[in-house]
Amino acid sequence: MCKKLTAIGHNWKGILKQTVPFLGLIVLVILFGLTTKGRFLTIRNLTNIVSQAAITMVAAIGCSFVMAHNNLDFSLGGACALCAVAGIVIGGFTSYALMLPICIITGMLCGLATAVLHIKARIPAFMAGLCIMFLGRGVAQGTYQTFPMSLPKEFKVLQNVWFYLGVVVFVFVVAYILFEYTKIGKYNKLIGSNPACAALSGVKVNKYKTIAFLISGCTVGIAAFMTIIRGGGVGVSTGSSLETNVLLALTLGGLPLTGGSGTKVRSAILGGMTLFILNNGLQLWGMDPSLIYIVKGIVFLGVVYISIERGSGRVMT
Amino acid sequence: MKRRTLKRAFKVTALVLALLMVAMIGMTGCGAKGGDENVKHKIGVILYGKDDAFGAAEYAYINSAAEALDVEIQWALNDYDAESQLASAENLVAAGCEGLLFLPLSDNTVSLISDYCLQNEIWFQMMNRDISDPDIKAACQANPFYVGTSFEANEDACQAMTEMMAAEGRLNYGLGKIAPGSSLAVRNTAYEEAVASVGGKVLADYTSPSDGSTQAYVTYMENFTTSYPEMDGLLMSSATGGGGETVINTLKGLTEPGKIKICTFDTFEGMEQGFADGWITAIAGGIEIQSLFDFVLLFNAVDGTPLSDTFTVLQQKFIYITNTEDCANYAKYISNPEHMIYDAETIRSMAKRYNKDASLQTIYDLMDEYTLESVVSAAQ
Repeated sequence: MCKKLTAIGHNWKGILKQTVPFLGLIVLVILFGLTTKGRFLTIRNLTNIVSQAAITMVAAIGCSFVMAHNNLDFSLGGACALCAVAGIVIGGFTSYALMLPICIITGMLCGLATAVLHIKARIPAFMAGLCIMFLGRGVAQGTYQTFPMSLPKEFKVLQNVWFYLGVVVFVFVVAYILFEYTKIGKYNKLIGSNPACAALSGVKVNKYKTIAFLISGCTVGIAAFMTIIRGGGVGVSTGSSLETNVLLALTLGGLPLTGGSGTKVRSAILGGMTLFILNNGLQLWGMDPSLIYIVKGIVFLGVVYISIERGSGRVMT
Repeated sequence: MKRRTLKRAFKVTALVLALLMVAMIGMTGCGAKGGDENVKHKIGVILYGKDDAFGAAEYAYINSAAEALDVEIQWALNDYDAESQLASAENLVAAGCEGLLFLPLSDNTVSLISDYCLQNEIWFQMMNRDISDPDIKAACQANPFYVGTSFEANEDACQAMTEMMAAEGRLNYGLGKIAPGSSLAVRNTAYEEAVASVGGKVLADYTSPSDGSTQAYVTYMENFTTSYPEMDGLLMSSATGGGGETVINTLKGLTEPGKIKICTFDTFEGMEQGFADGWITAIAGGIEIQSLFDFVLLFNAVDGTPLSDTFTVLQQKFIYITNTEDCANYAKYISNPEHMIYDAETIRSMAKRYNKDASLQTIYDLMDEYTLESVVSAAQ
């Protein structure tokens, strides 16, 4: 009887953890829908939210692969700045049509550098990511003073919600297939659950970790291209809070911080939307900007408290 | 079985919620714009922050203007890039703001917010910035919803402070520059022109560190005093981030008081002691008040009574601090958030809603009268 009750308790905890991200999003939509005098649920505002969240969601989708094998990629903001600078500067010298591929290649190189530092030099991934972040930010700031960084006029046509939405859907579908139906996703989750077991099972751990960083770099490159479009060019602060937003989004979306089999790509979408809906709704309420930070902090803490895996004894590396 | 029931319950809940949301969207139209003369307007303000002296002063002045003009104000703070400023502009407009006042962090921000305001027919006014990029400037100025901008009279201040140095017989200068690319870099060339006009000479220069490091100032001063013993003046384009204090403290250890005196933009901690000890000739500051004029200009436009048919560019005069008494008065009447330079009546005199005779000239006159002496005498 006692065992049965415990099992039901565990079952409900599991259900709660899985449903909190969905419920949180729905509760926020209803709450803001009812309390903002109709301002929240307007087409214009909803398109704003999608446009604002798109860059974070794209970067978070790629980052899910890294987090699946129980790592953190802190290079995102700096790498994004580096990709954006490379894209706009090299594009300016050659052809702006090359901006996107240049951003993606630069992003993947950043991902590769993080992976090499982590795997070959045995530097913890978050530390390797920090190095790339500082490098990217330094290059971006130095280059900003030398080259013009405004978006070419012909690209302004992309400054609309359909472009951002289209990119998010495309990246999500590709990532979903890779994550759920190929070895890349399955092995990264296995490595996150138990790296020793994965290695003993013949999984090439380092290879699949590297692929995860490359995918993350690729999505950062796409996010950088979107940042150039959305930001009207590149500035000294481009990508400045990307890593924080991505981490917040993935956590709010229910992605386990310890990686493993519970990792889902949909967390990037759910969490990204939750984060930006929260931000938007609180501003529609007219809340004092300093209070917005406090509320966001409390919500984040609440979600982490409910959804975090406890007692695993594992430390993120 | 239980799992299937749970899934079904989820689907039904999701469907109900989706229908509820659609119904809510249907019930809500796009917010109607206030056209009524006596309606309480709502204006959004995007500022980088209110934690430093400059941001805190602008925050206080704008709030005082909003209170005097009976305007609801909504703040968006802590945005440090173009994308975040655009997101704040979108959210403020969605929150019902009829006008936007913002301090753009780059020309790209101006372009984005200008386009957004044009699409949504929202009045917008900038503060503390000119636009460097000629294409963005032209596009912004062609926008019918662009009310205007304001920036400080940097060239005049460079000339005035260099002349004060020259009047003391100091003609051999070190020059502290702002990094190229900054909108304040205009001070670099303005100083050089001013030095030439007084027959002086720039012996050496440095660029203010952009990473907030004060150690660089120590090195600059050591190099200047060692390599150029004839240097008798230092013209600084900026003293923020501890630059002013560090320069004076370093000079104290390198040379006798008053051997090299400084003129600088930006007030700083310890400036009163710096004047008392004879290290400073003049400091230019007090430009935060321009945000109040910007806000009033925007209010008039939002209220349907713009003060000009086209955009307006305001130039804010600096206040010059030249002795310890000025320091005390500046601290009491200018940089004190508890003391507002203009009372509600004066602020209302610039708005057509409250004063039918209000015009751009009313604002120009007030800006012309702005000196430390006029502020002190008005307060007393």
